[in-house]
Order: sequence, then C-alpha cells, then structure tokens
Amino acid sequence: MDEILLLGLGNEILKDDGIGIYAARCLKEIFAGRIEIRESAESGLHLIDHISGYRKVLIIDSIKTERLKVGEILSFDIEELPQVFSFTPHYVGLPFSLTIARRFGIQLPEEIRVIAIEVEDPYTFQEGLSLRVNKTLPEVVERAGEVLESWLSHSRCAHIS
Amino acid sequence: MTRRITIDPITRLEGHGKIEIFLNDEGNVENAYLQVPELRGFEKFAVGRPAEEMPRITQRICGVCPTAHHMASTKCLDDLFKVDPPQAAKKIRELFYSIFMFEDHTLHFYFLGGPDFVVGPKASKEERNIFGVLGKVGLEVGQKVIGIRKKTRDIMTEMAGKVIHPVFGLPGGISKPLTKELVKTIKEVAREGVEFSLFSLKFFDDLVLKNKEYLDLIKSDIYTNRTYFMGLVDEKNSLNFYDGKLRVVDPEGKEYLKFPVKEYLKYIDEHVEPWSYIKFLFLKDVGWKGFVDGKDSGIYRVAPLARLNVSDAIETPRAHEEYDRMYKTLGGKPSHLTLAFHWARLIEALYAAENMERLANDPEILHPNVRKIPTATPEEGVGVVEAPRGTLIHHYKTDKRGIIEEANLIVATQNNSAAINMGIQKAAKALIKEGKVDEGILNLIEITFRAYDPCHGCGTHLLPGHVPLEINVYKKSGDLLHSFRNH
Repeated sequence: MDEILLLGLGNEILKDDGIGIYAARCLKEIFAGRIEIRESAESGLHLIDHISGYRKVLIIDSIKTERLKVGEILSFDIEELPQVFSFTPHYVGLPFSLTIARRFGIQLPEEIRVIAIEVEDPYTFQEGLSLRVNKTLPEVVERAGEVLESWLSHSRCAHIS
Repeated sequence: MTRRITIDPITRLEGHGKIEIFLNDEGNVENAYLQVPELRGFEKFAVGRPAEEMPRITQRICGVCPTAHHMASTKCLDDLFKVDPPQAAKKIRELFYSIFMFEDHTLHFYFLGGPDFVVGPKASKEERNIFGVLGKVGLEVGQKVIGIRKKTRDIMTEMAGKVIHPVFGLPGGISKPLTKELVKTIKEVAREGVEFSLFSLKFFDDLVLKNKEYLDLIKSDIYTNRTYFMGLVDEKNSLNFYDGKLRVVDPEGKEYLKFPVKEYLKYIDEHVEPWSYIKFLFLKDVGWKGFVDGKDSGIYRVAPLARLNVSDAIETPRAHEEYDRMYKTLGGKPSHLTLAFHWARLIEALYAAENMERLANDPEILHPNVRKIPTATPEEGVGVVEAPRGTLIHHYKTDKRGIIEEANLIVATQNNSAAINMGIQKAAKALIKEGKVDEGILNLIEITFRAYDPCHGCGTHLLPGHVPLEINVYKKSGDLLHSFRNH
C-alpha cells in the first residue's frame, strides 16, 4: 500500500472553490517526491478511485456554511462528518461513498483528515481567489504541512522500529 | 392565507436547489417552485480566450459530466474552424462517448434513481439507497457495477489521458489513434456491458414492471405531462448521442421540427421568471404559456425518454427490442410518463454498450489518421451532443485569430427546467391536501425531480454531501408550524 496522499479538491475556475487546488500546488513544491499529490474536481463516488490504496489521506477543500467567518479553517477526521444518503450524483458526499466502498470491500485509508476553508464566493467563474480567502492560503498550507510532516515522521519511526 | 413549505437540500454549497410550496387557506397547494442557484459569469469568463482552450475549460463547468462538455466543445471547434474530422476520428469520438454514456447511466440506475423503485417509493429513507438496492440484488451485483465502472474508466483514461477533464478532442479530430490491444480490451468490456445491461433490464422487469403497484405509479396521472420532446437523431431518425439533427415531436408523436443545431436560436427561446435564475427554454413558434402542458404550450423535454420518443428506431438490435417492448407496455409512443425516464435510461445504457461493441469491431477504428489540421479562418461555431441528462449545445463566436468574443451554452437541465417545475407543481397539488404533509409525501414529490436526474450548479464537488431535505410549513405570520427532515 502507498503511504500518503494529499488531495486538493475544487474547481480552479470557480473563484474560491479553487483554494484546495492552489493549496495542493503550494504543497507540491514542499513535499514532491515524498508523498503523492493530486488535484480533483470530482465528487463523492469518484473520489474513492483517488484515495483507495493509500494509508493516510489529507483532503483540502472549500466549504460554505455561512455560519463560519470567511477564511476560517476547520480540521477534522472524515469520520466526524455525518452520513447522509443521497439522491443524485451531484450530492453524493464522501462519507456516504466511503460506506459504499467499505461494503464492497474496496481498500480504504486507515485515516482521512480534512482541512476545510470557509469561502466567500464559489459560484463565479473566475480564476484566482477572493482577497479574504487568498489571505488564508499560507495558513492552510502551513497547517496541511504540519499534518503531512507528522505523518511522515511517524512513518519513518514505524520503519525504524 | 398563504403558507409556505420548503424542501431544501442544504449541501456543501449553501443554496443548492430547493423546492418551495405555497399553500392556500384550505391547506391545498397554490403553487410550487424549484429554485436553483446560478453559477455566474461563464460567458464573460470565456471571452478573450483562444477558442481551442474551450474543450479544456468548459469541461470544468461540470464535475459530473465533463466528457459531455468536452465533446460538445470539440464539435463546436470543428464547426468554428470549418474542418471535417477523418472518419476514424469521428468513430473513436463516438466510441469514447458511448463508453461514458454507458457508465453514467448504469451508475445512475443502481446508485441514484433506482432505489425509488427497486426498494420502493414508500420505503424508509434508511432503505432507499444503494444498500437497499443491494438487499434486493445481492452484493455480487453491486460489485459487478463497481467492477464494470472501473473497467470503463480505465479505458477512458487510456484513450483520453484522464476520465475527468479529458485531453482528447481537438478541432478536426482527436489527440491519438487507438492501439490493437486497447481495442481488444474495449471489445471485452463492451460484451460485458451488453450482458450487464440486459441483466439490469431483466431486473427492472422482475422487480418493477411485474409489481402492479409500481407500474400503476409509473402510469399514474400525477407523473404524466403531455409535452413536446427533443433529441438528436441520425439520418434514419434513429437514436444517436454523438451527432445528427435535432428532432422535435409534438405531444402526439408527430414530427414538429427537424433542424441542424446551427439553427437552434430560430426555434428555441427562453423565458425568465422573477423568482428563478433559471432560463426556462421553450419552442419559440408554439410560445410560452406558463407551466402548463399540452400542444399549445411550448414546453419540451430532453434526456432518455425524450430521445426515445423522437427516434423511430434504435440501430442496435437488442436495444431496439427493448425499445419496442417499453412502448408496448406503456401504451404507445410517445410516452408522457415521467417515471419512464428510468426505464428509457436502462435501454440507452444497453444501446451504448452495443454501440461500443459495434464501433470496436469496425476495422476503421484502428486507422492511424485521426486528425485533419484546420486551416480556415474561424468566425462562429455550434456543437451539440446528447449528454446523459439531455441535449447540450455549445456556441462560440470569435475574431479572426480565434479569440472568443461571445459564448453561449445550453446545458441539458435547462431544457428540462420548465417540465421539472411543472411536474413538481402537479405532484404537489395532487399529493398535499388540507395542509397534510409527511415524509412519504415529500418523497413522492421528489421522485418526479429525480427521474430527470437534474444537474444544477454544475462544477461542484461535494465533500460532506449533505442533503438534509427539509419541509418547513409556516403560518402566514412566519411561525413554524411543522418541520420534517430526512436526516
């Protein structure tokens, strides 16, 4: 099994929806060759294709709850997200897809962490982020980097022992 | 007194579609609306970019069917640069597109649309999903769906570089020819696809059609709308996803129009409502008469059932047999039964698999000449394909250097929006009486929406995938009277 995957989610031509993609590109400069780094604009079921086979996966994505401050960063384990059964491919979430994958015996990571950023405008076709979201990019990269470094160091220790 | 009910799927992106239902004093439905958010500014985004970038840009509009946008855009570039691709390129494009349609339709039936029937519309929300389906078909079939999906996506990756956001279509052809080894694999997967599609139809037959209650539901007036239909047909008026002319039949099934896509603006117009961002498309010469059906209303439908309704035949033998059987069972052609879209989708999946096999066995598919370099000065182009969810049109105007000056896209669900809204109104009016609303009623209204597999606000990928549907019933004062949630 491969070790670690960083998956940047989003659509870089839908303004703030691209934050996951931009963060992944920054992290590529730091972690290239040490972990696998991918970008995707796909949803639930298709994400299984990306994450299957890795031991640990970090996902960076935008959210728009309108209950958080723009630029606020959340970090949580995927298991903390509620299971919601879905009725169209456009609304299939990753937690539901993971349940499906487990049922079918697809090999899944032992840990999936998510870094989610509350965004301002993920609806307008535009390249580049809004100012407020752009300001959070260094912190997103830093926090993601910390997670990845801790996984890498844990991984090295595991090899030594 | 007007009361208001909201069915609100709160997704990762706040504001994704919701259904609002307004009740009168008696608690009966006065009106119902489907509201969706708008993704803003695509036309503006496109202006100033080289046209040849469009197949790579437009596929990013939709995270669900990028292949359809890629292909419509590529065909638009053929027209823009006035170049006719070599036969082999056209066949390979059609093969690629058939693989995509097969995968999308199959996945939809088992995972998304199917649960309504396979498990039953009255089943609880905990059962009405893929796991409920697995309970009926067994895990083995579910694994088969997953397995065949993987094989089709692997083929598409090899043909196009990647499934999502393919690097495949170019003006005048495609990026690379096929190899013998890949064609051999495609033949094997196509055979498996045909067998699996036949199994799916048999399964639908046994579980749905042999169940009188379900068949009655499909045929019920609640889910019937007498509309016009539109879809692509080939020169024999047979079903075609990739190319041909747009044919429109009236509610009696008579040909009303047949035109090359370049003329679409002559026949299709858009209606705007103050409460929605959606532009409701209608047939210009029939006119907009509101959200009503019948021959005098210009509302038309697209997507699987519409495509079969406008086609005189299906060129592949087994799909044609199934097409005949569907119309015999449903009482003739055209069919106005919204829930028959699910059946038509399965027949189209079979056609797609048979078409894969037919094209993979065509010796020309291995021809190395797959590109004709365009030399003409660009000006204006229009391209069309049938996306899984209906007719998709791309239209670009450029300057002489090929820089986009104007772009117009008609996406599949836009064509169906008026019909979806009309269907929701009809179902809500029939099912909500004297203010009585419960989860079962909510689902019976959603069923009409799901049959179309609508794709609103493309371009999104949903991480938590929240779909906590809510019905909120308010008094006129704004106080919450009842609240129903599906999660």
